Amino acid sequence: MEERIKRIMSAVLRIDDDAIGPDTRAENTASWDSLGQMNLAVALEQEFDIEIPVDDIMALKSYSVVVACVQRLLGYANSFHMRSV
Amino acid sequence: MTTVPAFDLNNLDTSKLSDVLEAVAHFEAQGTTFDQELAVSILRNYSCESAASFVKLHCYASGLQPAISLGAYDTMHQELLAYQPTAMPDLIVLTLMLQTFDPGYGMPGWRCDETQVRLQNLYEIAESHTTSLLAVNTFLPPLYPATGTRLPPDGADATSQVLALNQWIRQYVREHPARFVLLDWERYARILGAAALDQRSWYAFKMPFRPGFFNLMGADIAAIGRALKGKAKKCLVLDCDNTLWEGVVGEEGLHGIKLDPYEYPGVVYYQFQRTILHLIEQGVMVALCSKNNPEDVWEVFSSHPHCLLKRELLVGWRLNWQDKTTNLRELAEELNIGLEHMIFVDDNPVECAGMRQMLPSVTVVQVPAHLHRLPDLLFAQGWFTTLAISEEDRQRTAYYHAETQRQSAQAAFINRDEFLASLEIALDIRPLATADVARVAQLTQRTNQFNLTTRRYSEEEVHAFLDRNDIAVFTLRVADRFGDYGLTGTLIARREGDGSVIDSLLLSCRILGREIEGRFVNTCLQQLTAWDVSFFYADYLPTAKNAQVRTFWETQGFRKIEETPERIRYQLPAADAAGR
Repeated sequence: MEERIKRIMSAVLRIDDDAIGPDTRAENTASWDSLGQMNLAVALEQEFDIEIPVDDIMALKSYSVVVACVQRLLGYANSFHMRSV
Repeated sequence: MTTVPAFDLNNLDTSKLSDVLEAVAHFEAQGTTFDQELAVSILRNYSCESAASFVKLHCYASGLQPAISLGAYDTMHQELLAYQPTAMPDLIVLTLMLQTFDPGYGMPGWRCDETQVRLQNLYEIAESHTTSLLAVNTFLPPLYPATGTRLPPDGADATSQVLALNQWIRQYVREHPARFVLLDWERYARILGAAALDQRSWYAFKMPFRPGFFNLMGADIAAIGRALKGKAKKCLVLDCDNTLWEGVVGEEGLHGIKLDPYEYPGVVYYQFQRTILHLIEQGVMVALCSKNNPEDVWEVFSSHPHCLLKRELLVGWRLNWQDKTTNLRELAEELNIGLEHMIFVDDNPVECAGMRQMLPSVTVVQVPAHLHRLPDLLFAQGWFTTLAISEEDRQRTAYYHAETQRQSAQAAFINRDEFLASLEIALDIRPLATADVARVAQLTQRTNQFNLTTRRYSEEEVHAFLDRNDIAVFTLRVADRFGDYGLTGTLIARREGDGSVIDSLLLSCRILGREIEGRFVNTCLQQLTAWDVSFFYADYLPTAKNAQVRTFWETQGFRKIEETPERIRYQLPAADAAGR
């Protein structure tokens, strides 16, 4: 999953996948401005078929937060699915 | 900067934002990829930053170099008033959300009348302060109208009001075909349904649409760009078996193939043929390129009860076992059009792959595995999108049909002069009339081969020439004993000091090879001697398409006086022209 996240971040923010890691944050990445952040959210939603709540979109400012957010939303979706079965 | 891996535009999901951004980055890293630029300004009152990426992608896929500028949020009026005549974009996209344009929208009792007046005012400012083509959108009615299933007797429900406003917008665009084109948001929303809108990012970020919506808008904008830049497709070349009907007619026979509108899969092919009839009606040329016995195909065309295509609707055919790329080259030559103006449709993946590899400028469409997509496929891509359709478009199929008769007639003559004389060619050369403005503008936009300077003019610009006494525009109509070609040539001259400069000379490829061009130029020069100038000047501006006219002015007695890679300038003393 992290590889897919890196690939999306690389495409949206125009940075090298290999350079993406826990230290990658909006404050040290020029292309990670508010538009980059919005595009990142939309691209992640399409990639993982999730819907990111507004508050989470506003907090998407570092690689670690992105990974945690996607994990949580995917986990939630899965457990929801299990419960409804 | 990351190195973007190579990718195939044909297999790109153009509604997926990350893939689109990646593809655009790939092209932008290459710098300028295409010679022909499309300058688009997007003026808007909502957040649509990513729309620019979708427009860029569809431009690249169309062979156009995008130059996109995005106006600041909700500053349409100011931006329109600030345009300089020297820096007009090709297209201004005036894209509006009703919610921002009219804050009263959504309140109980809202009516569209006042919005309509304000909208008209904005359109008129756009029309009078710019010379660009203007693209405007319709609006989306509410998903959940406050009145539910009930329709108030006074028509005050929001849905009825928005639809009335949309009706007015469509009418406005219809009445101003030279300046306005429509981006039909209602249609995008019908295609995408719930995947069109994003209420969450609308409330939080003023960004109402999901990527798929911008994708459709970007595709429409690029299609308009192709029409503006002479890149709309002109000719559809079709395979027969399993493309126009299901089955192999040579094996299954006339009654074995499936084309019945009341049965699947016949109905799909029947609907596809109906698509083709619509394209013919809009002036698209249709030809066949198929590995069949000609008799088998013609039997279907003449005797199958459900075959809509008829032989007389075709402009040409190659029904043989020759290599299809050779056939297509021959057809292009016969019809005198570029390969990049052709679309080839075939069900056979090998034929499609071969065509893509051997003739990459031909657009190749394979009959989709999901067969139900076939009937709408050609419309959906906007390949044939043109601006205002002229009478000539509708008659073009008739011209080309006459052309094949002319060519058979040519075979019967041994001597070319005899043949030309037998055609009884009649030229009708006149100063530009108001009724011909649209056609002349269209010719300047579409003509690539016999075009000495390739200057593209909008309808608006051509119209302005009418009032200038230092500009003369001549039109050429041609007829011969096989038919009428219509308005197929124009010459634009400008008076400059003691000389007259031939600004543009272009002829439709339909009339080339008949020694018409010299007669046309001569007549125009004779008329221009009325300006009492000493010299005629004429330019040749080379492009990738117009090499065939490189030495044209020399053949007309002009003398080369200056040559650079961008321009060759010629001169002819007016006295010499008068004496001819």
